[in-house]
Amino acid sequence: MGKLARLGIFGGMKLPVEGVIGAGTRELSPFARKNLGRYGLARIGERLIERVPLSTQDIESLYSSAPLPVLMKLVEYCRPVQVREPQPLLVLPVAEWLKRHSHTDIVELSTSKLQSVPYPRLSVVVDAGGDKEGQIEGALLPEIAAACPGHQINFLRGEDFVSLLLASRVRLEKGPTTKNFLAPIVAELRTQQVDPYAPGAQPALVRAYAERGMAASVFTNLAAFKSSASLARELFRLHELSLDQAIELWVPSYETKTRRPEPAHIKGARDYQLLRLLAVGSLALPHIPYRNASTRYFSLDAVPLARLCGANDLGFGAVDDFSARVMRIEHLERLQRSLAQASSREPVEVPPLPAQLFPEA
Amino acid sequence: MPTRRLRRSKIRLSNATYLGTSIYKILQELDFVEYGECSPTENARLLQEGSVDVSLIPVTDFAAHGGYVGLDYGLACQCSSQALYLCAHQSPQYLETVYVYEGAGASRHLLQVLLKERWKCSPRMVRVNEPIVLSSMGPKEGALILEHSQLPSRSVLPVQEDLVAVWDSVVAKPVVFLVWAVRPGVLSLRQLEQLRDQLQRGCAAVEPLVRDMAPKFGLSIEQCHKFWSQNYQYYLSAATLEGLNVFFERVARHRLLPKAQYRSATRTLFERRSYGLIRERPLSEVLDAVLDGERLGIHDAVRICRQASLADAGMVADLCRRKLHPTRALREVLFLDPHEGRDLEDAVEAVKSARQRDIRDVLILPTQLSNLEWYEGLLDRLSQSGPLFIEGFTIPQLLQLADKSGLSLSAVVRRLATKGLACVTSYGAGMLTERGLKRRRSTIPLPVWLDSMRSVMGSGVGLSGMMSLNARESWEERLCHLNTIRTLQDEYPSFLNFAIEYLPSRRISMPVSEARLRAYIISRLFLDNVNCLSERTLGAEAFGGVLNLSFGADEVVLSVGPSSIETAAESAQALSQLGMEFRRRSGLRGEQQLLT
Repeated sequence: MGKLARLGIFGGMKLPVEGVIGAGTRELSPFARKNLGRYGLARIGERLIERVPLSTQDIESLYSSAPLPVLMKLVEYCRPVQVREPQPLLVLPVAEWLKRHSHTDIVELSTSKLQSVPYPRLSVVVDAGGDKEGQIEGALLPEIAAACPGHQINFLRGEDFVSLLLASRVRLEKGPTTKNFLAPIVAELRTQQVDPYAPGAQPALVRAYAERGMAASVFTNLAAFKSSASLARELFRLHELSLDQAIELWVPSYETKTRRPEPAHIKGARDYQLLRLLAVGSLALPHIPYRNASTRYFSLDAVPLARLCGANDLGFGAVDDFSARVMRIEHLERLQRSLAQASSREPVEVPPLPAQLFPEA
Repeated sequence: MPTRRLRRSKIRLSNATYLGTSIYKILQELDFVEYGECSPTENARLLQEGSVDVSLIPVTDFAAHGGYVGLDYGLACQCSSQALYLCAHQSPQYLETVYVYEGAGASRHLLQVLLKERWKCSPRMVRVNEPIVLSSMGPKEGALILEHSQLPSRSVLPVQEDLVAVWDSVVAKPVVFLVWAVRPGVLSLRQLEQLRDQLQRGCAAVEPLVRDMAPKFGLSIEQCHKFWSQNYQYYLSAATLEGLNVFFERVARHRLLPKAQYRSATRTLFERRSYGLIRERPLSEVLDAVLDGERLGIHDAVRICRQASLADAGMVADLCRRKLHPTRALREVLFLDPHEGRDLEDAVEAVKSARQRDIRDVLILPTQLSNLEWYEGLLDRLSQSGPLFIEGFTIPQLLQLADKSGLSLSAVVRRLATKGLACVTSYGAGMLTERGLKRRRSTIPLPVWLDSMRSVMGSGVGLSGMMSLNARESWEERLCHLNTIRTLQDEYPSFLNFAIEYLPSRRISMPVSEARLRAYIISRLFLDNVNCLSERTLGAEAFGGVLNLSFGADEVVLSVGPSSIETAAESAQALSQLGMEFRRRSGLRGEQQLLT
C-alpha cells in the first residue's frame, strides 16, 4: 500500500487530510464516533453514513438538543461538494418607469445602469407589466439586452422571492427567460383551494411544478412552527415528498406578517435557530440537492457559517441599494467580503464599505 | 507552527545571565550571531514572541511550547547541585506554604513533582520578588532557594533538601534545567553545525568558570573542578536526555505541563528527516487527549486554531464545557461609573433598585479617578445595602491610586478588599506580550503588568482575565498570552473568569468569523485551570454572543446600567428561547434557580 497524502487543498487552504472529511465517507472516524457517542448521537451518525433516512424522533432530538458544533460535525458527512456562490442581482422597475418615461428613456436609463455593474453575468428582475406586458417582453427587454453586449443578462419575472429563487435554477436548464411561469401555477392552485404560500411544503405546488417539467423550491418558515416536534414532522414530510417529486431547492426561512424592526438580541437568536434548522435540514433532506442560505433570512454574519451547516446555495446579492431594499437582501460586495473574511481562520482587518455603494438611478 | 522561511542574515541568540552559563558567551564570536543575555524565563518569553531565534530556556518552557527543537546543550545536574535547596523547619511533608524565588522555572516544577511524589503533599507555592528571609518563616513554611541568589544563609533552618540529590534518589537520573532551544527551520544546516561546534568549544573551556565558582562553594579550584565536572553537564548526552524525558513525563502526569518529549535538532547519520520537521500527533488525538485532561501545549494549540475543523474543535470545547458546567449561567452585573463629582447617593440608589431585581453583582469602572479614601467610602456605603459581589478597577487605575496615596499596590488592593472589593478587572491586559501592549499603546511595560497582576492575585482578591482579539496578532501571539494567564493561574489561582474582548473600532470591522469562534474554543481548551469562560458581548452582538455559548463559553454576563435594569430582563427572556438551559448566577452566591 502506498503512502497517504498528509495535506490536502480544501476551500483554497492547505490543510491536513484529517481535517478534510468529505461526503462519501463510509464510516465514522473513531474520533467522531467517540465524541458523538458522548452526546448520545453516534447511532444517528451511523445512520447518516449508511444513508438511512432520519426518523421524526431523530430530527426532533437533533433540532432540540444537539449543540451546533455537533450538527456541523454530522453535516461534514453529508456536505455537498457543489456550492453555488452568491449571484449578482439588479432590479429594474421598467413597468413602473413606463408610467412616467418614454420607451427610449427607459432603454437609456436601464443600459447605463447595467453598464455600471461590474459583473458580466447578471440576473435582472423586472416588475410585472400589467397591460404593458407585451411591450416589456416583446420590445423593451430585448432592446436593453442588445444595448449591453458585454453582459450576459438573465431577465427574471416574478412578484415574489419564491419565483426568483426558482428562476435562478431554471435559467441554468433553459436559458434566459422572461416568462412569468409562476403566475399560472399559483392561479391554478388557488382554484383548488390550495395556498401556495403556506409555511410548509405543499405537495400540490410541487406536483404542479413537476407537471410543467420544472423542479420545485420549497420553503420552511421557522416562524410557523412553534415546537421542535412540529418542525421535525414537517421536515420528515418534506423528505418523503422529495422521494416522489423532484425538489431542487430547500430554503430555511423566517417570515412574519409584522414588519416592525426587531431588537438585536431577537435577531441574533433567530440567526442561531436558522443555522440549526439549516443543519438539521441538511441531514434530514438528503434528496434535495440545494440548500439555500439567503441574506433575506440570514444575517451577513450567519451566511458564512451557513456553509458549514450545509448550505450550498448562497442566493443573490444586490448590486445596488435599490435592489437590496426591494428584494430585502444584502449587497453582493458586502456578502462576498463577509464570506471571504469569515472563512479566514485569522481575523482580518477590513475597512467597512460605504453605506451607499452605488448612486441611485 | 510558522517556521521562518526568510532567513535573517544574523541569528538573534540569547544566553542566560547565570554564572554557570557564562561558558556560552563564546557564542558571540560567531559572525552570524547577534548575541544577548537575559534570565532564562525572559529568554523563553522572547523566543515565544519571536524576538530571538535561539535561546537558553528552562526545560519547562520547552515542554510548555511543544514546538521547539533542542541543540543538545544546556545545563544539567546530577547527584547534587549544592545550590538548589528546599529549606524548612521540619520535613517537607508538613509544609503548607513554600516561598519560591523569583525566576524559578524548571526548579519550581521539580519541587512540585518531588513534593507530590516523595513527600506526598501539595503546599501552596508563593513566588516572592524580594530575597526570602528564612529566619522569619513559620513552622509550616518552606522556601525554595537558589543559594547564590539569596543573601541569608540556608543554615538558619534545620531542614535543607538538595532537590537534585532527592530527584537522583527517586529516579536515579540527572536533572536538566536549561536547554538551548530553536524553532525548527530557523537555522540553516551550516549555521546549526557552526553553532554546535562553538557550543562544544565553550563546554571544553570551564576553567575560568571554575575559578569564579570555587570561592562561592568554599572549595579549592581543584576541588571545585572535580565537583563541577562530576555534577554539572553542558552537553546533554543520551542518558541525560533520558532523565529529561522522565522529568517531562512526571510533570505531565501531575498536569503541571503538557505532555512533551525532547526533540533534538541534530540529525543522526541514519536519519534522513530534516531537523526542521517535527513528528506531530494527529489533531484528533490531541483533541481527545485534551478531553481526557491532558494539558495543551502552545504548538498543538496553534495547530488546532489553524488546522482543526471548526466542528471537531467546537465539539471538544463544548464537551469540556459540559464537564465543568452542565448548564450555562446568566450573570447580570450593574455597571457603575462613580467619581467624586457625582452624587454617591445615585450609585447607592442604583444598587438598591438592582437588588430588587435580584442583581447582586456590581462592576465599578470609574472614568475619572478619585482618591483611595473616596472609593473606600463608596464601597462601604454599597456594602451597607446588603451583600454584594463587587468587581472593579483596572490595574492601571490601581497603580494610579497607589501612586496618589503613596502606598504599594498590594496595600491599596488590601484596603479596597476589606471594604468589599472582590475582583479586579484586567481591562488593558488583553494581550500580555510586549508587542501586544505596544500595539495597544500601553504605557505600562510588560514586567510591571505581570508584577502588578501577581500583587493583586496575592492580595486575596479575584481577577477577571481577558484576551482582546485584534486582527494584527497571530495565533502564536495569542497563545503566548493564554500561556501567561495559565501560568499566573497556576501560581495564584485567582482568575475567577476569562472573557474574549472584541471592540470593533470605527475603522475596522470584523463580523462574526471563524477566528472569533476559534478564540473561544482555544481559550476553553488551553485554560484548563480557569473555570469560567464568560461571554460579555451578548448585548452588543447578539448573534456572536449566542454562538460563543455553543463553542465553549459557559456564562453570559449581561451588563446593565442604572437606567437599563429592565432591559436585562428582556435579554434573559431572549436567551430562554434558544433551547439552552441557563441558571442565574451571582459571583456572590454561586448558581441559583434554573431559568429555562
